[in-house]
Amino acid sequence: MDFRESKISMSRYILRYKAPGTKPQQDLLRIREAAGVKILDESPRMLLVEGDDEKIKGLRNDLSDWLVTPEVQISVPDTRYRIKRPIE
Amino acid sequence: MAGPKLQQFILMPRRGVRDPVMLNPLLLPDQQPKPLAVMAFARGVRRSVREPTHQIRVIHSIHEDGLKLAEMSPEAVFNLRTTLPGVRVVPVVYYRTAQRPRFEVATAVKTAGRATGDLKLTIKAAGSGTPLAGAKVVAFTDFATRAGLEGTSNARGSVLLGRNRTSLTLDRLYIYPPHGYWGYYAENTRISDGDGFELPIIDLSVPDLLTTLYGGHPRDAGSGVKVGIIDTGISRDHPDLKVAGGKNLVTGEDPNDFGPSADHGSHVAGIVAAHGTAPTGKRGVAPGATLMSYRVFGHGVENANNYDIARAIDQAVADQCDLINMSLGGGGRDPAVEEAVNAAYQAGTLSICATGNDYRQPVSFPARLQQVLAVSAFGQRGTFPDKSVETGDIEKPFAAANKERFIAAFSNIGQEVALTGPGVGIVSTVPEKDYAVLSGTSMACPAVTGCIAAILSQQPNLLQMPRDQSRTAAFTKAALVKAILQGFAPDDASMEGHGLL
Repeated sequence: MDFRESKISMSRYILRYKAPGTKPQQDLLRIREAAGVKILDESPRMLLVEGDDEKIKGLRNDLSDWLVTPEVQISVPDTRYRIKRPIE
Repeated sequence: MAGPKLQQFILMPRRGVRDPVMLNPLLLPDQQPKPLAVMAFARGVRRSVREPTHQIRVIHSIHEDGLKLAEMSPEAVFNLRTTLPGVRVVPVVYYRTAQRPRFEVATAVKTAGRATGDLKLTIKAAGSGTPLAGAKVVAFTDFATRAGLEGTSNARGSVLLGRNRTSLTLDRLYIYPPHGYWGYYAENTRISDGDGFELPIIDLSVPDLLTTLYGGHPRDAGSGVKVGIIDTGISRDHPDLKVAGGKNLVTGEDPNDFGPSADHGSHVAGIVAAHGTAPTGKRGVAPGATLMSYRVFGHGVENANNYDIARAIDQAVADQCDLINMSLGGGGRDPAVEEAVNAAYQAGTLSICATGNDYRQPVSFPARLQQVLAVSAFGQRGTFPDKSVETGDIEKPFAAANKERFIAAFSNIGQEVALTGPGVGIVSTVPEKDYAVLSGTSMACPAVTGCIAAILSQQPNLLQMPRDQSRTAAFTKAALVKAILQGFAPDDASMEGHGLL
């Protein structure tokens, strides 16, 4: 019922910088210049990117200090029951 | 008598694979088990450290300061966590072939007897008889397959459940209330067109379970402790809530709009730190705590994504929150949130997470992470009205310490559970300056967060520690040593962990 999880799109990924300190500019440049990869949002440690699955997975091999993981969604927790099969 | 059930675990540092913490004499490989300090004990019955349940035997070690393979009981895992907070305990996992699941045909829905006419119910306020809008009626003809009818009352309090029938025999009937009221629950009942139901009004002078347990806390409980609520946002104009700051982390929305997108976050925040006084207001567990609102659920959107949640954790750490409350979760492990939670732990911020509401299923993510405190939910008969929705949450096991207490039917459980909290029939603050009753591990989690805030406010030496993992470990230990086992399941920590604060 609640606490559901579903992958919304395999083309949106989170890139999180794992090493101490700030994101290296050369890494950012490489990500920005990767063909077919678009940066949707940026925070001090992370990027939300959209693009071709294979291109983004390729970045994973190039950027050893970065975590690359798909965007997923969760719903607001709720303990209320719902009808799954309405009767006629 | 059978001995304790021993399991194998991998012991490792919280970060990396080699660390001086692994040199602790307890973690030296040995043929004989070593005793662990007993940090949790049943009411009045302190167990001997010689009991096998409180012992650890390290079977193998890759390096002196590296990973170890150990054998111990699940109960001993909790004691080790308290004794050596810097050590992660990971169950040994065995893989099997990915066999294709078999699909089964769902049973056909049986339709009830037909008649000309409609099936309408009326929902009113008890006492005044005022029609209630917004009550949701869920009528199960077959609860096992979740078959039935549902509808929501209109301004006249009327709910149209179906046409071409005038009565229905039900397995279960739930009436979920609008703000300000308790709901209704019945089993094995029959409803007919024209039936009316009256919902009791929430009387703030009557203590719910939260107030029964923590209503005696002083007004300054939790002072000096900053609590980040990662949720649907907190109401900024409720008279019982004071929000010190926060941020909206929903990508694409105004970062300064950290007010509510739904009820949930305001309810959670009120449980931690509402500062009202009955009978006109509601008080939380730690009214003196500083509330920070980190909204991750967008307006008109039911879902939050892991990017926004990870950003919210980072922001709470940047804002120097001492505690983070996450009454949210999903099924699978998510590395982005895990990294953020780990970074928070390293920065001296303790995360407290709800185990999830999937009806005794395994603990959800992120509550299952080693770096957080996972909270299950319990209820107590007599703290909610007879026939209220909460009656349907009563399920075994009951507590040895108090036979009225039960682990909520909806609560997820597992060896990751660190503590249990009150989560059935909890009255708290909601937007529009109102109050509502909600149940869930979402409610148990902030009750525990509030308790930890109250504990920490009494120990300024811990709050003043440098913001690193030692601080977080000290917070964890300060909380766990205060817990009292309720005895929901002897020798099984999966229900309550260390117990109740």
